[in-house]
Amino acid sequence: MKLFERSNPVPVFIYFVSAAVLCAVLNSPFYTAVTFAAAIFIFFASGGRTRTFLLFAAFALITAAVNPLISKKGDTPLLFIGDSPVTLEAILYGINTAFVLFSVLLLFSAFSKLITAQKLLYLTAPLSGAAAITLSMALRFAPMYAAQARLISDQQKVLGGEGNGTLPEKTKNRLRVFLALATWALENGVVISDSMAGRGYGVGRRRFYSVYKFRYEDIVMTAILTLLAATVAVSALSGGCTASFYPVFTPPDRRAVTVVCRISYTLLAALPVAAELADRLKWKYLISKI
Amino acid sequence: MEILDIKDLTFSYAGSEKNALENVSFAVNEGEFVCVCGPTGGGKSTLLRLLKKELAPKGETGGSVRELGKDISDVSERESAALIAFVAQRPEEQTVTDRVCTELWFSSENLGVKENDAMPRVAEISALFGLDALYDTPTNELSGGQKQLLCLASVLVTRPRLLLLDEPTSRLDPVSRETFVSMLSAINEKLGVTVVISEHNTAGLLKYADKMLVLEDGKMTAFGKPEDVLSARPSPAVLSDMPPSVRLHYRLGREGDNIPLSVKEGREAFSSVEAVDYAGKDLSGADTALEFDNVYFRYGRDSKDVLSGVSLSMKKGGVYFLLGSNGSGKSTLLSCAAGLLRPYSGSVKLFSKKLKNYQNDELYKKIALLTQDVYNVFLHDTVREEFKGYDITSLPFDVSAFADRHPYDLSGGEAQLTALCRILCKSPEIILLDEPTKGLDAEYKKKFSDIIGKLAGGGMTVLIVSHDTELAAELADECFMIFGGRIVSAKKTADFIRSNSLYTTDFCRMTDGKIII
Repeated sequence: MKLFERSNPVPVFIYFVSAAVLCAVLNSPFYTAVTFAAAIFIFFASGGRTRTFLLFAAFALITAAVNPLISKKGDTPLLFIGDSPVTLEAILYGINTAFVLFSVLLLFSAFSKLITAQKLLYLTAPLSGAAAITLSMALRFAPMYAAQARLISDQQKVLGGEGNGTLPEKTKNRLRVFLALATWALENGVVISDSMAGRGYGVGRRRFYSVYKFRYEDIVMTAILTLLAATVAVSALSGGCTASFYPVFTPPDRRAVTVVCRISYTLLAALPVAAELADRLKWKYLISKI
Repeated sequence: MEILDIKDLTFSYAGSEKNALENVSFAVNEGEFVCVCGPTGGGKSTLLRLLKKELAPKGETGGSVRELGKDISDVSERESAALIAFVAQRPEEQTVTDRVCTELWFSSENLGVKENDAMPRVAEISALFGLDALYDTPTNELSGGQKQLLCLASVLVTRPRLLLLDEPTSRLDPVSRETFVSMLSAINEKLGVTVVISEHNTAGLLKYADKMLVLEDGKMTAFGKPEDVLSARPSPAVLSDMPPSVRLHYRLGREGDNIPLSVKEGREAFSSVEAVDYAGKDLSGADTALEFDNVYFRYGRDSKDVLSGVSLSMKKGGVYFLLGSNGSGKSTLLSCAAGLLRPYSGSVKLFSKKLKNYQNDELYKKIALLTQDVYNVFLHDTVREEFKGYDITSLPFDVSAFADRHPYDLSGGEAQLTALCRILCKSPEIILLDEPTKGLDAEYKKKFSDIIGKLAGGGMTVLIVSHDTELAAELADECFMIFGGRIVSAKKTADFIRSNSLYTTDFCRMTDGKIII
């Protein structure tokens, strides 16, 4: 997903959240199928691995298998295990839920690849300045502390303080290493706070700069995605746009609003896929020109 | 125009009777480069911190400080933050954010400067420092030298007029140090920023200085042009921090005004000195203590070799130095020698027995390692508790004066030697030290050398990883040069120092090998 990697995090965030949330809330075969198709494309296009895909598939399979065994709902029993019925509706519901879960997992996996910590920072900065700077510092501290813990533990191992002795002794030593790390972190914090004060932290109203710019394409993308998501939400709230599974499977009402909802959702889910394909074609065309 | 005007500045820390600074008076003109020298505890840091009001220590202040043309109490927070920049010793701890770009933006963001106004300056500073290629790099991935350059670059974004630096290069290797110092001179010259820098090691720095200020025991004992100040013999404590050219000048009993301040000037001044003979210890008959035979190591299957065929041999009772650039595998080699990392090919033998055939208990009675960050040794609340079970009166360095202090409250030199004592408690037969003199002043370096000399005299084998060639020339029996994961040179120290042009001492450079230390 080169296009999503390059674009501003805002439309990317809106897409993933609206697709995942709407797909789970609508929970209806048509939307599930559309989401699933888009999710597969996005997952592999953003470098997802087959192994991860198979793992998610296994989760989905288990969900599909377990639901009819534990759900007593539905009016059409197909067979009985002991006294409990296995209903057609529970099987259908299980399959649909499994695909919803599958799609959401694929989307989240792609999301975590596309929205890096840096982009997350950009998204949170306008909400709370303090939170954003804390997040930025935490992103630095986590690997730094891990490295320091390793150094302390190595030094202590050589001093003969770790790795030997009985379990209580070992635990005690681990705790000591942890406390040493905490002391080190606090000492570190004093110098960092000096450095922050010296560079004017807290003097004025803080601004946030960003490497991500809101370009024309990003604005258009954000507007279209928001509009489509809103249309889907409003039409779904009006009722009748989705299938219901219990007590018997009922397809959506044959009304204009259902058509609007379906088209809007399909456009929403397919938008990045189409944009990505268009982008690939454009570059292929550009390169063949060069 | 005077950017700094200090009159009768006296300061004592809260709860202390003693004056940390006493009647210090001097003035600095805009655009000058001032070097503050003097032994540890002389008041260098205190003076610099008093000039940056956000960082001023708590205590009693007397006299007056005028900066930017007004009394320091009239300098607003915003002016102080933007116009008076401060860089401290440890680069890791001054870095606030996780990326190079956000670090460069930090000051302007804090001061609410509009992005469009800040970016041209960020771009210029980034270009001047060669940070363009690293712009989006996580700060954790930078080397120590790059981190310190970033600290310097990021305080320059707000166009400061006065730049205060408190021992900024004491944790850097010589190559990074040189880059940093020449960058400072460029900033001073091109951007016209006034520089006030305190340093132990003034080699390579004094030649850029318009003025030098000497602080001893809180009193200003000299202030003026370096050549004027140094034309009178400084006190031994101050002299030991001066560049090799100045030290050699006085060691040879020369007097007069023609003080060589740089290696270049020294070459001319010392062209006809008499050669000194450096015999060195004869270790040929001694047993082998530690031996690397064709050792290969890498951190993961897919990564590159860090050690690719290291072979070396160390005799019992010898002092060995391992020199090489950053990332050449020095620390990895130490970790392999200490059994913390296991090579995937080749063998490491300690007293003719393979390292992997030792039990941990048995191994760490024979071998001890002191890593770079010596505070990692300390796990307790007082120095006394660190030595629980051992007799603290028989240590090679007397810790009794601060036995009840927290290890983190010790000075850099005290902490280093205390940690060294701690690893000696189990009476190891071989010790491995990683950059043991980083950040130490001349006084503590001397104490350190004395201890190592005594230990080696008692039959202990010592391997030191260091960038400090002067220390190597003084202490080592033999030196190894590591490059690209291989030992490319292993020689007796005098031969090693004489045959190199980077891993050599300024004494050797100035005298064409006649004097190496």
